[in-house]
Amino acid sequence: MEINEILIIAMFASFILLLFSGFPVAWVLGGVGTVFALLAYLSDTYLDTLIGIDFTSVGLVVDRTYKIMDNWILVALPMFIFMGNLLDKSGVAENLMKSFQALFGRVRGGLAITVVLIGIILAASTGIVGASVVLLGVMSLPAMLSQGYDKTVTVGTIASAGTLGILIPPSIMLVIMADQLALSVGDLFMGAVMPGLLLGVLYIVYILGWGLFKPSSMPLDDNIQPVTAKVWIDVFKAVAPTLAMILAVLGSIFAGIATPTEASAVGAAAAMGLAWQNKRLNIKVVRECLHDTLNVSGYIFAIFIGATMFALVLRELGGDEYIESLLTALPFGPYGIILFILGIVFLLGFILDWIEITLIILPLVAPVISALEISINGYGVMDNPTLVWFVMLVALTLQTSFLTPPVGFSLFYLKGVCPPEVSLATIYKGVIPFILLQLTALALLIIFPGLVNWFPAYVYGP
Amino acid sequence: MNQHPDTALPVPFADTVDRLLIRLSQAVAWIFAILMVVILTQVMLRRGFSAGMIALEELQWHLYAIGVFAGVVYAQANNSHVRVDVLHGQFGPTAKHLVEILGLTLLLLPFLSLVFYHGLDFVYQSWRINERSIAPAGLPWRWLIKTLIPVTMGLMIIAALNRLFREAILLQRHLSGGHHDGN
Repeated sequence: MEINEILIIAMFASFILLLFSGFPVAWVLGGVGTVFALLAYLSDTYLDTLIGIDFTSVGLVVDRTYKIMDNWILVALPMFIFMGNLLDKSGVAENLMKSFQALFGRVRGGLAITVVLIGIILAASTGIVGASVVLLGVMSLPAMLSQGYDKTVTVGTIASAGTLGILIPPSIMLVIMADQLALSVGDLFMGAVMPGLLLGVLYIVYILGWGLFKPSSMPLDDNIQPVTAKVWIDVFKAVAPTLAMILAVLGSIFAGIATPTEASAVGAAAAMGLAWQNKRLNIKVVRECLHDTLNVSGYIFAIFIGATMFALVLRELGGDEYIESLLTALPFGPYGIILFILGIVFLLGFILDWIEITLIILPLVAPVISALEISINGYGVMDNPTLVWFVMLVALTLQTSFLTPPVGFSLFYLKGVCPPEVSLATIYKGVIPFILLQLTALALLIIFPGLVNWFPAYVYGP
Repeated sequence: MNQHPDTALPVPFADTVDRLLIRLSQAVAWIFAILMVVILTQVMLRRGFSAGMIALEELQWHLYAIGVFAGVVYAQANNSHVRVDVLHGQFGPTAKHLVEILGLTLLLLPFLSLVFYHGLDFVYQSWRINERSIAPAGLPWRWLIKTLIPVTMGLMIIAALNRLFREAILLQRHLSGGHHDGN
């Protein structure tokens, strides 16, 4: 084994090990990059290797950091985060909750279905998983428990519904993926529409089925009101403004009228408008939202900067070619390689979250996928159907990792707002069926790539 | 993935420095609201009068970059950078302080110093040729926005040293038997 290969493996190994120390992920990335740059330099000096890293060459990290700043696509990121924060505080979700509850009062599992539907709507408008899980938890957990819902069903539904945001556009994860792989944000957003809805449908079917199979886990409300025309009008009044905003933001991106960056600012303004309409808008709320935006963008971009250093040193060590040669040498055939990569991503998802995987792993494996002899139907109008499809598989896998114990982000967020009698173990148990549903959806996407590519192709037209 | 519990403990000097950094970055956070307005203005100009302005477009990424880099400093002073705390949560106070101290000195500070040093050179090269936007109607003084990199790194170094100081004090307090730090 060559010395640089040893360094590559040691670099990954120390990264993973140091993560468990609990030091911030971003700085483990940047620090490991720095230390291994030094090691490579020492190896060149004393072991006569020809890696070529020295103090001047690692200075490239500044140019790369500048590329993060001088970046049209990423401008959308803080705007989408701002929009999400505003929307979460706008009272929109509470209105939806009230009206949907009246509508689904007679359906067994109606409350759980309400949570999934609101989850989808929140996902299509904010896409910040932490905020959505917390919001859904605060809003619906007490209601579901007091109505006698089984605890595991309750927490499973809330965690999964709140996590839809990472997949359903506008998703900040998809924005970053598009940026990393030089794909169109619009393509990825459109590609995610059907998989996102598919998940929503699977969740609802599962809840309805479970309600039939075990009615005691989802009792009906005692004082059900009949569904009158007024109920429908209330639902319409609650849904219409939010839906209009979603259509304006996503529609203008899909139709090619606005860039994602423009749409993100329009969305933020619209979210402000909704908050104003619900009489929730004031200077304090705006300031809080700005601070949250600052914090979330801060920790995401710290990982960006750290990962830049890590990726730079890894590349100079020859890590790209090394990983590529390892993957293409696997005796599994194209689909086998894809499954293998997804398996790795899924496993890494237990300890890493989507940001690091998107920034480090995705750029490493994307060239391998492009080189595979696999042809995914792009209906003749998509630029890179295979990669878009693959990215969606990764996105779905990463979304699943939000729900996988022990380090599922959504689980922690939910635990934070749960009453003490709901233990972490209950939450773990509750999400298992939903993880299985996620894997089902993943399998469907692998077998039927049309689920991803049909919609963008349809929008582009023949 | 949550906040370090020790942040709540008072270390007067370190608290003041962190508070200053937090105030500063929170003031910068308004830039996101300005960014929103700038983008909306540009959308209206482009759609309404088909007269998008290059300068406005460039201003967008300038504002965005300042905002998110202020966020990096904010998250450091606020101690809200993402951690994997499966094991970390189980560590005792001594181990936690040691992790921070070692991490700051061996990982974070070398990295920050490296980017800071090269960042200064990066700005100098740009300033020397008085670099401006390549677009004729673009913004002048490209070196000014490039200064953001060493400035951010400088603030980060202050925040990191401050954190190091805090951890050292807390560790020393803990070791000298004072269990008054709540652990």
